[in-house]
Amino acid sequence: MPTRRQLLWGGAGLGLLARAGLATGAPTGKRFLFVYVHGGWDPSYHLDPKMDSAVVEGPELDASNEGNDVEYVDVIQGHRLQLNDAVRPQVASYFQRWGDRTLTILGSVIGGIAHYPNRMRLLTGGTDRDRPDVVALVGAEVGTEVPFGAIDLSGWSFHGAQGANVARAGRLWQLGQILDPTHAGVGLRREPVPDEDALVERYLRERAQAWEQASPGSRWPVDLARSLDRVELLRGRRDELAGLLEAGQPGSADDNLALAVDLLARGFTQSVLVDSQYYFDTHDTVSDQSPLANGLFRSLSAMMDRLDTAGILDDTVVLVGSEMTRSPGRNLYRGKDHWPVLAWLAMGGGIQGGRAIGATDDSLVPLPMDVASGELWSKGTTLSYKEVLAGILAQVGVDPALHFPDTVPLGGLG
Amino acid sequence: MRAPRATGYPRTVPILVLLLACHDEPAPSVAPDGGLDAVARANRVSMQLRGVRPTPSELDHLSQHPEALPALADAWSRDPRFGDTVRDLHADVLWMRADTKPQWLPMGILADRTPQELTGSFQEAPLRFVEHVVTEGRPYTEVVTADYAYTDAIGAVAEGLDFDPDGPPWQETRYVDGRPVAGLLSNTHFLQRWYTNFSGKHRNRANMVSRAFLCSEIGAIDMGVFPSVDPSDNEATANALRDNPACAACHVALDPLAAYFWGFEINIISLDIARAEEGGCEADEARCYPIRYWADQRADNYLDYDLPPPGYYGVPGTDMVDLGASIAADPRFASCAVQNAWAFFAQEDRSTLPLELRERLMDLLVDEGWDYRRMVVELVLSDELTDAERVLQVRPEALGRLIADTTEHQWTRTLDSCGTVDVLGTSLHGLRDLAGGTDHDRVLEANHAPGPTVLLAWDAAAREAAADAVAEGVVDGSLREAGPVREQVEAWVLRTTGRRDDAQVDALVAVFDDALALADDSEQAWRVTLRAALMDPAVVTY
Repeated sequence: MPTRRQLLWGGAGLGLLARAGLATGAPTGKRFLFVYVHGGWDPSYHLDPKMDSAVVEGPELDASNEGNDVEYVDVIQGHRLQLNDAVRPQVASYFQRWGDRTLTILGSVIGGIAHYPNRMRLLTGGTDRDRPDVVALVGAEVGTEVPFGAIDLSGWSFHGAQGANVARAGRLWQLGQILDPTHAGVGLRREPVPDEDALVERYLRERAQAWEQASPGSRWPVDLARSLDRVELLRGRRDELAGLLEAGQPGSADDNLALAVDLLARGFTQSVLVDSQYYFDTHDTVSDQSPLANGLFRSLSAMMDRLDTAGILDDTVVLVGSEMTRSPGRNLYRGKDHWPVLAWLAMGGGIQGGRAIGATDDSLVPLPMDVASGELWSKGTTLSYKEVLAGILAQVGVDPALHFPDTVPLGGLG
Repeated sequence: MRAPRATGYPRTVPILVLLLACHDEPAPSVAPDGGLDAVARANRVSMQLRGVRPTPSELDHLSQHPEALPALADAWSRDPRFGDTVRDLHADVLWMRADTKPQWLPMGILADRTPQELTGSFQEAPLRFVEHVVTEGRPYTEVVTADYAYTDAIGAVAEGLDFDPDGPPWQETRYVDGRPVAGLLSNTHFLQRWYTNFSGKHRNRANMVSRAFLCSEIGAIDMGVFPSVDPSDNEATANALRDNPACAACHVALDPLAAYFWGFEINIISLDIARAEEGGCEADEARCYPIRYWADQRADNYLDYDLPPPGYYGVPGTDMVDLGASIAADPRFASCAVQNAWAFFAQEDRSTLPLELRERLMDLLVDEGWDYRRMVVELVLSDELTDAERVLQVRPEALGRLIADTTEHQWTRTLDSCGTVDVLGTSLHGLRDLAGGTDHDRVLEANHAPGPTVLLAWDAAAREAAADAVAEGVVDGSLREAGPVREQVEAWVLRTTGRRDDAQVDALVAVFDDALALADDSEQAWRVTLRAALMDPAVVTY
């Protein structure tokens, strides 16, 4: 049965939506949350212990923390972890609480060591500037019945050709300001009148439809119609959305992640890109990795609690990734530079937790694996970042072959 | 806030002009050959070059003499608003308007300025310089070779440059610190935007050169094999950067390019300036205004890290002047200039520029003495950019100018913390990225689709502008009788879309009638009508 939105457009509308890829296939209902960890975290501080390595200069070399600074390796809920109860207690706390729902993916190679190109690779699976990121892809293909297919709370997204399906919140979440008629800055400064909004919307629909009829195949009016549909879904919920956006503090890790969860849980979007707000680019002082990791895992734990409380953890795939990691050894400034081997976390949404996929050797070089099964295999290949993204897309319910042709999706996730 | 008086149109459009300006019947937008018809073509070319629609008299002339468009386009490219377009284009190429990044703040001898004034000055300085090169008809190679600086009063104080307070707002001047000068390559604010760090060793700047001026970004090269070297071992790393295939693929070109920049500061943050100013400037004079961004003694510090000396893809060099000359002589520079222009005007990735057009425009650019303006005119007149199937969406900065031109409304907001900002032209406190633009920091790809937040941002802008247009009498808000209402709507449509469209007029009159029926308030009905009209596809696309 056509949805209310489709009926608004009648037969022509159905055609428009189908051509735009919105009405193709039944949505799986899975949500997607990508937590981007900016700067390159150092997994030797948590996910990938290397205390026995003669090459990797890990956290055991950091300055003492009042005599309690003991680095050790332990296994928690199936995860072998580098821990420190004094400076990174939240790592252990996270895995004690959520280790059984968390999958660690180690040893995937990314194609470079520069931030911007690597960020593009991490999010999109390549360096083509027209390529949409995986958050946008999920939003376009799965998020058809929500106001925003995908929303970017971070600013880092690459929407490619999916710009009509992706919303931006703005650096200071200005989206909330333009929804709030009382906001004196970029707000409307005038109370909206629903009947007037309807007149404007009707006018724009008529104009888009006239354009579409005059120029069949033109994408722009289709995109306009799609956005009008999406904005219409906001009607009556603008205050609620503005309230969510204005309740938190942009730039606060916990508030960012809480907002991401709330937007998913309340059905404003199907797919979110959010910045963790912890900046791991520790060229000068790698010991900063400890407080950063401590904060990150505390925030991730709170996020998981919120997903669980909201009742959406089981159908929300969460991916946590950074565009690079840190080099095995330290530089002249006691910091660490970039290393092109990624470490990821995947949670929820049917992900089988309590284990790791992939591994690195004592020099942080990836071990070969059978990508299709996710098993280590000496005659296998090095896992690539593209294969991880393709596997995650499959987990969310998006056919990776459409977007990552010639890429073997990482198997063994669920 | 009211904008300066618009130049393109009288305050109210006489009906006589309407009759003169347009066809008697609604004009088709597609010509028999599949390209745009004369009016639509003129609309697009005018929007491309100066961000506003043609005037009614121009449209009238063109409807009778379509062959006059190239001459008119040439005239439009001499309009001051073409300078705005050149700045917008190069802001996208250079990622210069990164107002979300931390900026230098007003302190010391600049304490009487607002933060936004400093941000505007410093971000625009490199763009004003390029605009100066282009609009003054200087060879475009000056972008990387000019031996002068270009500044406004704020920049002059910030760097201790000569500046004539009675002269124009932006002036040619000279650096006083002995730096080798090569256009943008030695521009303090350009280099500060592209700051580096101790580990990066100016590679960020080298990579930017490869991306922005050569369209061959070194950092985007995929490593073919995994590098079997420990980058923490400095000696091993230095060797690997030259010898290891995985590393050398990038570093063999990147590091010699980076070596040209060693005389410049890696990064001066506002906190450095604050500490220096608060310390009385004696301990750290270089970080007090006027800032000293260059030091001769740093220029060969690459030697301390066993890094290679300056060189341009295998050709040894000495200083920034060499680098600028090498870039200007590299065929990729002309090609990249054309590709960057294509990406901006076609709203596509620069790699999609057809080879034949690229070659033609490169030849034109070089053969005509590197006249960038001419090249751009040729580009926007090309069949590839005037085809009827292409839809171009107005950028937020241009939308702001278009609204100002038609409604005399400039949307700004004033914040105690930073001063007055242009809402559609900034990201940190404005709506530029929500409206489909970029922030040149994180949001690096424009959204050329009318996405949901784009729509919401347009709506906010349209509401503001419509309200001001009624309040300020740009339209007569007292009209409610059918005949005058229709005439005013017709004038508005022509004014905002550059064409007469009976269907659009009918639809807007219906909006007005329905809005009037809702509240029996003609001014409110006009506000709703103009709001709809300003978001019309014919306004926000071209």
